[in-house]
Amino acid sequence: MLNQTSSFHFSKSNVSNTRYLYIIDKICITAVIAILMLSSVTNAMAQKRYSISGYVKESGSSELLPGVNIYIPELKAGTITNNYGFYSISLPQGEYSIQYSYAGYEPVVKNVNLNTNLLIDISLSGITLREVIISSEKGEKESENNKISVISLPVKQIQKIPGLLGEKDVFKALQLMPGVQKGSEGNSGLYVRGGGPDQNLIILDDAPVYNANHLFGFFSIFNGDALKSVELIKGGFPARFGGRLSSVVEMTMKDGNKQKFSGEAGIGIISSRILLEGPLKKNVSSFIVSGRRTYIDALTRPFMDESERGGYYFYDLNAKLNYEFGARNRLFVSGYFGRDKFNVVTRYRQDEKQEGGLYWQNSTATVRWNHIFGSNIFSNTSFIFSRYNLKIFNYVEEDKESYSLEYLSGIRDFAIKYDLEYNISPKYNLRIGTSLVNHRFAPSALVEKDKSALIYKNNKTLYESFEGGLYSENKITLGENFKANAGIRYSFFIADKKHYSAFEPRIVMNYRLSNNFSLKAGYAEMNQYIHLLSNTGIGLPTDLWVPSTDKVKPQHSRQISAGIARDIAPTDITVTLEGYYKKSKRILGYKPGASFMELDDPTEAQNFTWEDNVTAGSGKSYGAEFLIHRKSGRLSGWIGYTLSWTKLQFDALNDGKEFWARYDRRHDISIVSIFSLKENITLSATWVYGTGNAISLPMGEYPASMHQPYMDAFIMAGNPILYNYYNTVTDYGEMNSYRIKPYHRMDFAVQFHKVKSNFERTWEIGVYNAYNRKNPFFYFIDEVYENQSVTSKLKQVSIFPIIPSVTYSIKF
Amino acid sequence: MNGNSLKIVLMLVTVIFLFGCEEMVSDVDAPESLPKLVVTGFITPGMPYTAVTVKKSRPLYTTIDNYGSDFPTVEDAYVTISDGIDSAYLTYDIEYDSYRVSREELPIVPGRVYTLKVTAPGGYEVEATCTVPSDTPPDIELVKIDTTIVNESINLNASIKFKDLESADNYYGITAGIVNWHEGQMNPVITEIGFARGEPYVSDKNMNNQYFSYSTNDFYYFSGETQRLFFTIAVTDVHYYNYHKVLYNYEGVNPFAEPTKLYSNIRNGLGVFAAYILKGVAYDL
Repeated sequence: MLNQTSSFHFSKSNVSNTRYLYIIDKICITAVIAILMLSSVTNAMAQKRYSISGYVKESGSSELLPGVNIYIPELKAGTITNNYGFYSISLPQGEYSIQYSYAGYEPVVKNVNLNTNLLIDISLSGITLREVIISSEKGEKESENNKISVISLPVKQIQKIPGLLGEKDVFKALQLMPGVQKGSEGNSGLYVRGGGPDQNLIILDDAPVYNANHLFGFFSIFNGDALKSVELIKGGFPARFGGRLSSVVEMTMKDGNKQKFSGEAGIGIISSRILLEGPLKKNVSSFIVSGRRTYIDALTRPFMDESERGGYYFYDLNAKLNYEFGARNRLFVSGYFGRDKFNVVTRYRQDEKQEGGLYWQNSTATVRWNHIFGSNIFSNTSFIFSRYNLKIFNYVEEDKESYSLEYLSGIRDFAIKYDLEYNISPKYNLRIGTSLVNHRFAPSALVEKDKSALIYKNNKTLYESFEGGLYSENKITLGENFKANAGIRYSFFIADKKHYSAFEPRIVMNYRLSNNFSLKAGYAEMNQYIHLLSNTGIGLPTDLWVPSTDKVKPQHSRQISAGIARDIAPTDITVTLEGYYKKSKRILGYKPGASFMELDDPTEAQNFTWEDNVTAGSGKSYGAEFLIHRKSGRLSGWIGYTLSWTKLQFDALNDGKEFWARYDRRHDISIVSIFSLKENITLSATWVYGTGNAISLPMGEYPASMHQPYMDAFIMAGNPILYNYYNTVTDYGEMNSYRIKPYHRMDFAVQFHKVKSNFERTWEIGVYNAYNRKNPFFYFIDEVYENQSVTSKLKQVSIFPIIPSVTYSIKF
Repeated sequence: MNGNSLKIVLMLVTVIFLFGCEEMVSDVDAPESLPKLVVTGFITPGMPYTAVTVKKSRPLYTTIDNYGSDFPTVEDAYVTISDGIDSAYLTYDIEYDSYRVSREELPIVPGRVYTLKVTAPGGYEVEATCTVPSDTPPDIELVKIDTTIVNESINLNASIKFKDLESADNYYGITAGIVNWHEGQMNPVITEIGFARGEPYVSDKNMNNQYFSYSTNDFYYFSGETQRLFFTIAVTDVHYYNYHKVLYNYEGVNPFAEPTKLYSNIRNGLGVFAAYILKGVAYDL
């Protein structure tokens, strides 16, 4: 009996050891977090303290400023304003000179004699730089913050980067950062550290955005006009974020000018945009509204035949209101609505009309209430709504009888979120919170109405689920040189038949080696309970969000990252070098032949079973990222380089052998420069290079016979029946073993600014793909038949040659 | 912008557009590849002979003379099948366009492992192994036959079920069809019927010892003819299942779908060498 037990244990040792090491890892990380928290709490409780708190605003517009650095030289400690521009700091009784600094703004020093709790709101005035010179939004130095793998991109810088057809695009700017790659040419999807676009949590004012694409993925829905800040987190995720494996893109909309009415407008080749903002009640309440619409449909309509007309357009609307109820309460109401529509209308007879097409739309709405408890506890309560839906339709009207067929799919969220931030001391900031989301998935529904045949079908299946989280984040300073943000998140998912939950430890540490130079490291575990089915790689609206089920389990990742950060102070240049290793399990892949793109036939679109089309596997991604970034000054921009490897393994794919991910990219380089040539001229240029994508290349074709068992009876009866029925199938090499051509491109733009009496205007002339590089979009096999022979050739399709653009914009 | 600047800009834009009008499809150097042997054989006990086809794949990115829609058979291959003790040589039979061996020379026995080896001029040498299932397929149970009359024609559809065998890791292949004997015709007409519910190739993973149920698509009932509805059920090995499961759903090359790589257990080649045991049931309509 004893022998049997020991042999059982021995045979399972590999599995047991892996699990055992995993548990030990978790215990160690949790223990480190607990020790750090305890030491800080003990420290903080030792003396009698008073707090200083308040908001930091921009002088002139009263726009709340996030990330302003607040420093107390006497204690060599400080804090920064949160996303709502609020700060609080708890200090021992005494006299202090508090410094408020933010790049691009005049620093303010406030001398206080602290013997009671103080509320101090600060207004920072912009340095009288020329408008064309970019000033960064964040005040905290890279070497001093306790963040790792975080990219904060100034919106003003995004607006200077040359874009396809002159369209400014937040996601395309993020694609130029190390660790972030694009999918195919022109696509705005983000592939972060080997993860797919499905693994990015995209948040706009606390609301998740589910399909962030316009025009079949060529533009993202964020053009930057209405945005205050954009931050991308690639690793070292703070515990307040969860639900996706690879990245968090957090965007905050501007609040609107509380002092005066102002606006911006622009006309480009494919779209026009407008933004208006102003006070509703001076210094108390303001609004901002922005919109963008394309007009290809309107321009091409006059040239189309009356009997057959088609069109495409998209538009975006952003709006935000805010109201201050005294010093302690603020209310923000914000929303986004965007829609794409593509349709074809045919009318061959007067009494007949057929219309087919598709549209997809995103809408988000957030109501947020900021409340300050006591003098230094900040709370935010958010009520969030988000919805994405797609409709493929076909309508026929003939002789007063009508027929309609609609295929619908989408996801709708209602969520509540509560966060509490408590600055216990300059060396310990506690943040706790919870969130609960009700997801309603409608993966596919078919609605058919036929008046003549009296048919009304509505086949709609909805899946309800709840996703939630509880977290604690502890920002800790130990001694003069060590900082950490240690936290833990408990996440759960409740679906119809299955419940899942997990603890996710998170930690980021920063050790300052010298002034402006630090070592950083981070660890994060993430779980993803909802999945995007999208194997086209080009961000189509037919991509489908689905929940975890008993068959399709949550995806999980563990990521470790470490690196160095250096600020070169007088030049405002930041240099970072980071390495990372990420291991994912239960990630989704697609079985051979799986396709989720059924645009042409709504009936077909409804018939597939997504659970049978997916398969689970594991992935590992590792690499190094180098970034030298200057966010402000006459010459600003960055140079980024990524060296990375991404491998996948699925039992059901490639005979179970490991293979390169489609977007595995060994080398990725981006150079972005923005130069203020004169007071009224800004030049900008980008150059990008990326190793070619990995694809499975067809190498040959061969006959594949299908066994027909019912013929056996005839064969056994002596009938001469041959198995000569076959399909011609393609012989692929190893999965993703062929590299398409490398991608490289250069873009230019020049902006001419002029200040007129009532407004400032800017002409921008840009060139996309300046040296007309034929970059690959996809490959196909071209067969030429001649006499009795056939020649097959591999061909590459490129979609964007050199493309000029002109835009005109005004600011008033 | 002054007038001169505008002229320069317009000229630049014109030049850029001219460049942009270039052809956007270009040739790419593709790697060379050689033809591979494509070997296909399904073996089962009780058949009067065992047959294997041997063909060659057609490489892409090259010129093929005398291109036809068919793939020619390799007629000078050396094909053997061994059961671990005895080995049999399969000879090419031009009438059947396959390599064959009689059951007397090579009996196929349930539970036994068979190894196929094929060599052909040009240095081709491929090998595959399969195991004949040892279980008899479960019985098919007819659940119901529904009849609907549409515009005076009679439509039928049938529902069946079968229970998974008690042993673990079973794979099944199910087919349905009708056989019609028209008056005056020598041979019957066989028409395969697809399933409206139920997959034709299934495994008992997560379904151990449970019932699998199927419902056929609608089919016509021809009054005045002898018509028989039949079902076959095969217990198969894993290679048979993997190969057919992918082939059944084969979509061809679609840039917006995952590439379909057909399963193969032929080492250094393509195709499949697999085994099954079949049972059938028929109902006169």
